[in-house]
Amino acid sequence: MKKQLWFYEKLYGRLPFLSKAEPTEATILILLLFEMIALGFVALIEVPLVAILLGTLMIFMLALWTEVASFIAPNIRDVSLPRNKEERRIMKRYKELLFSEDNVELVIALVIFMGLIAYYVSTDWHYFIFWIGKPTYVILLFGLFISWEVSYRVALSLWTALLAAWRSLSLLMISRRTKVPSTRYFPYKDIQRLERLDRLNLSFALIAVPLYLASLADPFLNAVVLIYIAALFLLYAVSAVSLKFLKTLPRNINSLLSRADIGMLGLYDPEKKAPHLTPVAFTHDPFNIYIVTSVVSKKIKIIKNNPRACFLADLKDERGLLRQEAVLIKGNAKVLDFLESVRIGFKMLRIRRMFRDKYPQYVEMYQKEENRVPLAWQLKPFISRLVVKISIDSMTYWDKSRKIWIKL
Amino acid sequence: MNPADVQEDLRRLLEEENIGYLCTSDSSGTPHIAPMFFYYSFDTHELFFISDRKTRKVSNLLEVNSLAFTVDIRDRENPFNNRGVLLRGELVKLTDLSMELSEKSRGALRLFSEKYQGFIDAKIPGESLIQVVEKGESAFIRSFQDVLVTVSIYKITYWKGPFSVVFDPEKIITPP
Repeated sequence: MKKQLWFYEKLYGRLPFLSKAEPTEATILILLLFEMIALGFVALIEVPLVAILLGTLMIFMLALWTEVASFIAPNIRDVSLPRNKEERRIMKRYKELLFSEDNVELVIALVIFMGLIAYYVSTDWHYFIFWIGKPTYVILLFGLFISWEVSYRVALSLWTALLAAWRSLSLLMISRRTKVPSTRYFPYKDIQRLERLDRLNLSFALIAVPLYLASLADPFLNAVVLIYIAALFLLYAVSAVSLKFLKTLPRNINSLLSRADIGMLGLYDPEKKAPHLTPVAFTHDPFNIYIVTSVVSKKIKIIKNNPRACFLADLKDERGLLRQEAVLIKGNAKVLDFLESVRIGFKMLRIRRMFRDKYPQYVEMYQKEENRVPLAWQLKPFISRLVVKISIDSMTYWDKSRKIWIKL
Repeated sequence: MNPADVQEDLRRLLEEENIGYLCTSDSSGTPHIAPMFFYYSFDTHELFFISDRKTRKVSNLLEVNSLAFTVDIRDRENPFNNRGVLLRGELVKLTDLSMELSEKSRGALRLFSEKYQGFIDAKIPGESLIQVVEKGESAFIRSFQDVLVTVSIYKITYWKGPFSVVFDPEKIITPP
């Protein structure tokens, strides 16, 4: 597939001295270039000191913006597609729109830029005169160039934020609709990455603070800048809230995992060429199942050889054999040994607390009976007990197995 | 724990529990679990269950013929009362239920349907599976996907709380 680019990426890619530079180097080069042109003007014509400072500030802001954008773009392109059909369709469309061949962000930028020019003309360039006295053609041209650069980045950040809000909302709506995945269901794990990218996009609003200062002299432009910043925050909030709710398992699966006390952990021992199956106590979060086991257990030994794992949690209904509710999870297991626990830090403490909250009676019993139980059962983290994390790849849920008919 | 109690509890688990968990694996080493109805024969130390031929568990067994099967009882309040049994075995054969059945398969099917009377039935209107089995050969005519899976068990692990014991199925004492 052809790499899809934003307009400015295409533009910079064509400038001979920028095309080979790293993104950050390119940003610094542009920053220096702009600043040199601006100082050149200062040398040629008399410009108030305030205008020089403001101009420099704006150039820095543009450079910073470019830097953020050049980080966001490749990251969004790299975001993996979900494996569920509907979610996949949304994410595909999102990427297509964001990096569309028509460069929608360019069209929006042009509209904003035209609006700006119309406003400048209708106010007899009042804004320019305020800052630099009587403008010459050269400085007017440079002012327009800066206006265009600002328009483009405003357009780009608004378009990105708008699409992000639409994407997150759509993903959320889909996940609300699929309450009971009867077929295989894949949790979408790139959500954390999307959240990070949304936050980065929000930094456009923070970088826009100089824009706010620069527009203080003109109430209309000032209001426009404020609306822009507010819009970015609003769109960010929509996206962030949607993603937060999306970071949960489908309601029925979550409820089943919370109610089930014991799950079955299935592994395959490649040495003995035999499957292994044991009941385990467990807790879960939206992306993982955690189990606690003894350091010397066979599970630990097998997982180190073959991390593929299968986990089943079910609820037997007292009212009848056929009223069983179950979820089957496939994924990869990882032993959270001492080093790994240090790496994930507080998360480890949270996992241990989840266990204490789910099995208060077990923990109490173990502590009371500490002297009676073998070392493998004593609650000594890392010495006798280890946490194993199973990252969820896919889930299958079913409710009420039907009566079995043997089709004779 | 005294050996007689273990034997007794083991027998009770395998005879009285209705659902066991079957763990199979495909050739890539990805395990699969399925809750199953089952019948354990203490005479031959064979495990029987019925499945559709097209399921993952059957296709897995054709790729990797060994399996693990767990039956357990859980105690919400006291982990020292959690107990169960892990059977390890190998696939002996798949018997197509649409074919004429041997006396042995018919016997297994009869015991199986006695255990799950009411839950498993033959899809023939008005007749229970037991009735159909009793009628013998003439009933097995229509061709479908169901298979009777026979597994021979070579190792048994029993546990209760932190206590566990591993033994050979032949060592299970059959009461007179």
